[in-house]
Amino acid sequence: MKLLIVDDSAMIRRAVANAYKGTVFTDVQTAADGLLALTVFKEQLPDVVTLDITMPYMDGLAALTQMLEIKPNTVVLVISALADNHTAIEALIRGAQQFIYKPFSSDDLKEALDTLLEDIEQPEQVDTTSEPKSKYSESQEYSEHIEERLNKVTQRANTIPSTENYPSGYVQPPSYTSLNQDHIKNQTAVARQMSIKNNLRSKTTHLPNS
Amino acid sequence: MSIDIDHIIEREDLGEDTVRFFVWSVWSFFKSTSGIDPEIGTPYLFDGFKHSDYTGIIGVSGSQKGAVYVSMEKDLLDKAISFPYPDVVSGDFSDEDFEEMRVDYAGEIANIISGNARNYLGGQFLISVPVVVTAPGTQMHIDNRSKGIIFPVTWDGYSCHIILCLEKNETADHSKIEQLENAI
Repeated sequence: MKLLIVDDSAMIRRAVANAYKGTVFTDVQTAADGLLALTVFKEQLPDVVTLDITMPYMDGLAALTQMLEIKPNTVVLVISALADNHTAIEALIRGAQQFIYKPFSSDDLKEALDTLLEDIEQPEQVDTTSEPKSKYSESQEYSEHIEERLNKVTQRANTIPSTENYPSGYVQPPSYTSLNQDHIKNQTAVARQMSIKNNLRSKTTHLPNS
Repeated sequence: MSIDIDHIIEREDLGEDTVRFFVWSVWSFFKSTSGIDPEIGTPYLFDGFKHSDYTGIIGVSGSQKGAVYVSMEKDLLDKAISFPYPDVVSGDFSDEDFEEMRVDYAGEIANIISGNARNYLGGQFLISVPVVVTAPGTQMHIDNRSKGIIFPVTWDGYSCHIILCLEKNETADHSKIEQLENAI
């Protein structure tokens, strides 16, 4: 399988490459910004992309949209320091499969990879020319899949505390219990609708002309 | 880790919660990458600060404007790299390559600290890609020195400084940004 690592930090690119060394990836490419990533993407058509958001020339979200227009079944793992729910959900709405926050450990990366690989169905036929297909080709299954992903991401995002946990006059690491369930449900519902719309739009785009 | 910051947070430009979250973000970075608690010292107003060995700078726009500086000594940076990337420190790199990695990671530290703070500051807190200055001992210049607050940080026996130079961005039309966010 082909992997494209996109991050403006050489250290992060190196860390991701090392974490995935010896796994299913036989071809690993890297890019230091969104624009270069698109060029490499068009040439290599990778199966999996790890994507930073804050990058020069073109940010990761813009690159993500264009990549999925080129190859909709690409599996994308967003790795970003932007640790807010809004960014994570925006990435998922645009078609990313997973979102993890910096700083991350190699275990975080491997866990994310395991989840990503579950999303890719290896071709059962002996047909080396065909690309991996997403299991979530039907709209209903896809929407359930997106909802599941959103739940995971929002759970992760909420390990980052809100200011409600800060006692006045002190600066200390707060407890990880700041869940605003109503807010998450609202965001999840909106994101789910958007994802379904995007999925349908994507399907429509790729229908053969009649 | 407890700091009385009330005496220096008297303006509404840089809210108390904003400061708290940045300090937490610094604490979280060092703790999560190394397992070692940093100590955040008493903050003070910007006054003639000189760059340490490496300074990662993140420009801020959107709901606030200004910059976040993380100025650190070389030994701290090497130690910070050694925890998540032990292979880099023990690897067979030329001095030039290792120096590139230091510069890269100095920018990444500033990026992570500022990016993590967005969880509280929200999507309207926009951050730039990092710029790294290597000019140890050089006077640091900021747009408006009355806006700068310096947090000394000690971690595993090494020191660095976080300098927050932020103020409310009066030119940003927050209502329109909020409308756009809600529309999404």
